Amino acid sequence: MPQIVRLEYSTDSNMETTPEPHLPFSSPTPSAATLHVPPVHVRGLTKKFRNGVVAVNGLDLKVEAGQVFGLLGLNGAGKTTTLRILLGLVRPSSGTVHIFGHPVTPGSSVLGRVGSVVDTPGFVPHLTGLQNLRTYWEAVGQDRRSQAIDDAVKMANLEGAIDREVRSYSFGMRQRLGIARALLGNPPLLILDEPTTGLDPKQVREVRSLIRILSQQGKTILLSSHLLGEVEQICSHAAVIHHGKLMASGSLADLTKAGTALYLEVDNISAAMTVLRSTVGVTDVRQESDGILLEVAERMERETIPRVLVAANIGIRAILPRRRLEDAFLGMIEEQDV
Amino acid sequence: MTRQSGSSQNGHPDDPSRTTPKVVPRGCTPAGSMSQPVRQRKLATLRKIASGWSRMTTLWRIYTVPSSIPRAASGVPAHLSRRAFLPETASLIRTEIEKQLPRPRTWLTLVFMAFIPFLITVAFALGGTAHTSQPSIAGDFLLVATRSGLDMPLATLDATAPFLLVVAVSLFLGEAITSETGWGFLRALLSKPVSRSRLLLSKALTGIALSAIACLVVALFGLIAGVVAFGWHPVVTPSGITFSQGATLLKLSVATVYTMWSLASIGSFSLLVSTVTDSTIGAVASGIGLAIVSEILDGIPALGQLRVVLPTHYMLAWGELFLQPANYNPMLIGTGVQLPYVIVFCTLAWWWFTRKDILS
Repeated sequence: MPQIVRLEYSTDSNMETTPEPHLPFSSPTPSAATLHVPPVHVRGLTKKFRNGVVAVNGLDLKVEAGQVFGLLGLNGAGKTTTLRILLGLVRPSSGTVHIFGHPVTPGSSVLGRVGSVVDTPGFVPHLTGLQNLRTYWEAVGQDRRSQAIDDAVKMANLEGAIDREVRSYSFGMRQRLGIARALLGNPPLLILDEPTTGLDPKQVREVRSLIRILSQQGKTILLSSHLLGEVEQICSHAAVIHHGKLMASGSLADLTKAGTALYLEVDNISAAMTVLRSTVGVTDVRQESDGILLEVAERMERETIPRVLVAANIGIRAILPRRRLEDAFLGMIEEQDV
Repeated sequence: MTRQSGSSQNGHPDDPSRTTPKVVPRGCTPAGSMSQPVRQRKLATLRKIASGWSRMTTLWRIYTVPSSIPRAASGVPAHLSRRAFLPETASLIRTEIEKQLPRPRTWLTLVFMAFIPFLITVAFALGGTAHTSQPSIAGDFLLVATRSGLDMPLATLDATAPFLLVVAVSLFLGEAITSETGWGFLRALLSKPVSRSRLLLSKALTGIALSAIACLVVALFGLIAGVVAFGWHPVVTPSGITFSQGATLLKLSVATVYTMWSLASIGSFSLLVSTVTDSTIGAVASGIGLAIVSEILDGIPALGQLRVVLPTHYMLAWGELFLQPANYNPMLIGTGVQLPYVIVFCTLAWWWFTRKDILS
């Protein structure tokens, strides 16, 4: 099974030192005035379909430059519709959408600065992977012989399969080719809808690494997912959408710190767990990778935890407020439903 | 004039508009030897020509300079938008052809269209000349198909236009949008700065080209098969009039082009449905359905003159080219009848597609 992405591509020193290639299409050149403009700014966005379904309801969202922003929600929450509106595929019923300060309409030139994968990446099945990339790149007004195509081919890392018809590709191969296509022209903003759907665990890990590297390169990434563990590992910020409405938005730390969970790193995990289990006010103690996750009663004084551990002669490396995103997310959803 | 001056100020150094005030054509009478009103009139005319030229070159640049070229180097004034219509539309058409030509359905359809004339020719070669007690009518070339090889392309056009060519045209234009929607490629394209109008235009032009090729294939392979089987003789029409080979080829060309145009309403309707539905079968079937409904209504004499507005009523009107003298009126009316259908269907297709939510 070939690797999902060749990570050397992103870590290649040339990639980091080479100035960003000219932005594709006639996209507006970022000026001093637009450098501080958020890459994505959505205000009062509403989408009501003809059948009466309100997919998005008064959504406000702001994604700042360099963030890896997760859009969370259950299936049907309005994530994909929001992303489609951002890409000019769907017209909003009301509200405004700005990308890099420019209003988005179907075919807006600012979309040249956005790479995207929405739903499953679509290709012309009877063309090869390479022909698909070239055809796409030329259709969007670019030179089919440009270096961007070669970079995308390396990125897709499909080896010999790049010259095979796409109809013979597995889902994972299509997904890789789709991500490579989204990165054509090195766009500063990436919009990815469920980017790891259909990938095997190894490929999922590689996509995560790729997203981190792209983020380190300064790209802004907006991705939707209902895989909370994935978002927790990749994203710096997130917004929770439910029934088309924004439930919460902020950094992951903001979204998860309000709970009664703490994460500890100590020098003797087993001894610490024994001590904590016998401490009044601690309701649950679990080992999580190299640390301990514990739930405490809401009224319990947090100072008690280090006090009992120190008394037991256990060294403490870190104590962090911790609530898993899943708990935070489900808590918000349940609260809303109630 | 404001636009012209703006153009001159902001234009490229090579912009002709920058030098137009100094243009004095060769042979022009020196200013001193001309009366003042005449000189002013001539200068005004020259300015108008210069202004027109400036606007034309500006428009040409707006529509032809690729958008990848920086504005400063393009010669396009800053206050005018850059759309680069021609090169970007040409790119879309080129990529559309690249997508459509290797498709099995394209080749199979064209091969089938080439096969039908051979099939008809073989049938006539085996069965001999048709015998009928019905009076001969102009255009019923199936009755005289064996008299000359040149009759065969006319007979095949006659036989295929009402259904097979309708299917081909509906297929090529009905699949224009739906197939790409089905692949998910449309979504990827439209999430970039690609004009929906241009995309629709490129798809329509490619569909029209393939449809025209289908008509040409029928006529050309009918001619080849007919000449091989029945020889290169002057044509005797069903009504007994003889035409030379040269005259027949000319009329065959006109008949082929007319047949292409007579299918325009069917094709544009398929294109319209293609923008509305995501179902390829639905879009293709809609064109065929329109032709069938039109044929059924055309067969009801009670409708009288109302039938002349049906899209297929004048489909075989080219047969009257082979009267002596030729009667062009039905073809002219048939050409005119197609026009409103095409305008309405294509306008609706454009209106819908440019406003459509891309959900699949």
